[in-house]
Amino acid sequence: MPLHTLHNPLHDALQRVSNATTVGELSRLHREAFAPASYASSGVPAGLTPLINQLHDRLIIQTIRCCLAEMKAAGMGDPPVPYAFLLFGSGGRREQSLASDQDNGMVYRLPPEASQREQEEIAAYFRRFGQLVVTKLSEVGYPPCQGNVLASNSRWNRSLQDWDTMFREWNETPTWENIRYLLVTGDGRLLLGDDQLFARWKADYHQLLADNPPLIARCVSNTLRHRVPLGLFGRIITEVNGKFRGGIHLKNGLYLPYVNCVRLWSLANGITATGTLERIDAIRSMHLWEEELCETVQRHFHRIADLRLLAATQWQDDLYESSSYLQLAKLPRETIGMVRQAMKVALYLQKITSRYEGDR
Amino acid sequence: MEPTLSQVASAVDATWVMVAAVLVIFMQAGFALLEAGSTRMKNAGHVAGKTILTFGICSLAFWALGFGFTFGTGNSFIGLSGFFFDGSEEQAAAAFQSLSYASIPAGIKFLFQLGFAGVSLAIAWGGFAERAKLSVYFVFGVLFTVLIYPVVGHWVWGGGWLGSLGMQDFAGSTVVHLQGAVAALAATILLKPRIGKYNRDGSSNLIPGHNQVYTVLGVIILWVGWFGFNAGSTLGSVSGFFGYVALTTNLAAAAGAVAALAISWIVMGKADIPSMLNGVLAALVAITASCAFVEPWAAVVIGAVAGIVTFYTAILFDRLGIDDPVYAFSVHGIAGIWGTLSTGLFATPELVEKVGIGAPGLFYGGGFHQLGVQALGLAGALVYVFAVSYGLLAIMKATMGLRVTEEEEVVGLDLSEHGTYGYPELLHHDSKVHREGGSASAYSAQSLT
Repeated sequence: MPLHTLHNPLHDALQRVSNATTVGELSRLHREAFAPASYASSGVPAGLTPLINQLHDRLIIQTIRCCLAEMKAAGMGDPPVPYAFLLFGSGGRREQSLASDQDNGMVYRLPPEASQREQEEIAAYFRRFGQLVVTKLSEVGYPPCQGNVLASNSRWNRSLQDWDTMFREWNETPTWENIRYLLVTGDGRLLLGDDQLFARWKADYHQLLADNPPLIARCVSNTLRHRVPLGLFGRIITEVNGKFRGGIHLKNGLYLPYVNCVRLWSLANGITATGTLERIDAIRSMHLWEEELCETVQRHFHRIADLRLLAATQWQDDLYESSSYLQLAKLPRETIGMVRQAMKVALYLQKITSRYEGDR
Repeated sequence: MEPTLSQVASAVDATWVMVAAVLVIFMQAGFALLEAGSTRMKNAGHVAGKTILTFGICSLAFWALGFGFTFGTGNSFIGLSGFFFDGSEEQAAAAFQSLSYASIPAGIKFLFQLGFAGVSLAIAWGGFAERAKLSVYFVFGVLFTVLIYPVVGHWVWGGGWLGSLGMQDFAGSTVVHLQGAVAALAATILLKPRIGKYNRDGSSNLIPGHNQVYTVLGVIILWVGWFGFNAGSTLGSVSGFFGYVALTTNLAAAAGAVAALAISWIVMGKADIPSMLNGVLAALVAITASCAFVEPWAAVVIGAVAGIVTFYTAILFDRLGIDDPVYAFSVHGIAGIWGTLSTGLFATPELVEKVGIGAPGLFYGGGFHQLGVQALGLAGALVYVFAVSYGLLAIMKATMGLRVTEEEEVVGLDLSEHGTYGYPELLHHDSKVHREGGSASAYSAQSLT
């Protein structure tokens, strides 16, 4: 099938999404554009990730607009203060695959003169707004994040002052869980809302890291927690049992090791980009890595992004869990060789990243 | 009257074999823990409890008929004397010529051999786990102890045709382990996989055991029990040979543990505890035939190979659609085959002379003769045990049925067969959560945050 016809479901949906005014319509668009079955017969063309993410963004934005209208219709009015709707995880990095869950949050600005009661009313508005968005996004086709990084969770939906307080707490008590939150926040991206507020939020976050260098060392063990399934003599370790037998967990075994290592180098060096490829561009311009390494990592990362789309179409069961597994037996020999090379690079990245741990 | 030196020697021998018999019978505790730990919580009381029931059944049936069929004087196919053994030396002298070489009391001989029959039966139950009806344990327990185990036992140890050919099976890789394993295989084929084991596309799901610590404890008990099993099979202690047998036994088990853990780590990327435990047992099964015939280095090789081969065959049988919940056929069958063949490879001339059975192995200039005898014995045992087990179980399946109903299997055998849970508080709590509807999902959502 020629490339342009395969792009059609995405292009069509992109054009139609702005006219969709109900969650039902958005859900249908989501299903039509991202159903693995649409790609099963001919495979997913290379380099589709940016287009897919453009559509995800628009679908989520349109869903939020529906929620704003619903809030208004319910007598809650418009948002009382400036706010920013944030995407974390793969959404924050613009790296969502066909199937994607939701990782999101919000920040809003409390007026300095607001009374206690006014502050509570504002918080109540955004709490309800966050819950509504998470519910509606689930209906559209984005299952809630298992780790509860959601706008319905008060941890991820709070005023700028409260975010700053939380940043300080993470620094003062860098438990494993707090470090996880810190790293999740590092991928935060503005999807909708006040860009000045977002810039301030982001600057506060990076200032925290810049002022507290030991925090980066604390992030290393979390960053390296995924094991690359490459065994003795370069043998790829596949699942032995179960439905995914013969497959690898592409997300944990290959994709996330790249994402996590690149993120740590970026956060350690004040790089504010959230996409992995953009982060590597910044790493290159700061001469943190050799040019050749940057080029190699980016080349592999492009292929991994394509493999993630392929993985989503292999299992034909529409389960979110399945999209993380890549069935190797169905792939040509060169592709398996590429996976092996990419794993070696991942192990190398983990090795150079472990330096940040210092002498703890 | 002062005891004579030979009486004292005989008493020392008898004491050791009595201790060995107790060790072998204590292996039932190992099987109870191993099997219960390897299966699910809802079946735990049943799986462990039936071990006691079936050892009881086995004891009665072996006393009445099994012992006579196995060791009684008869023809080269089966023993035909010594039924309803009265424990007297007179009956023993008249009926059990095959056991006359050991100068220990007949009651101890019986107890020791009963322990072996009990182990073989306990192995067979592995193939029935988590889905067979309780009544099946009564009926097949008797049939196995009377019609299956004694026949091959007689062939090798009771004066039968394999013993005459010089088949080397010192403590029973074939007689005890392979027989139990083949019966387990026949059962697991006839019973069909447990609910939820296989997906529609044929891929299998791992059904993890509910308590790995039980499984580990079970294996430690079996490992220690094996000193009775193998070293006790010298049927004496005065010569000191039992120490050597214990040495090779321990080395093989150790090699099996290390090799199996290593291979699971290499293949799966995770050092898998159940695979290591299977490796220990497989190594012990393999060294059972050869423990008295091979040098220590060979014991290490035999144990390590058993540990590695079993790891792969466990995966293989799973993929072939054979749901063997505690890997009975891999651990006791495949390793039983390997162990029985291993003595045809590694048996040394000196040890063969000392034990007085068969000929040296291929690697010690013995040529293919002993290996051929071992292979023939295996083939005979495999064909007989599989045909008879499958036949008997098929008849049982057609008449009384083998498997509990779907509902009984889902609710668990503790409740369906015995009326009470092995873990009452835990499972009642769980069922309450489900009954209250909706709170089950709330519970899981909570556990994620």
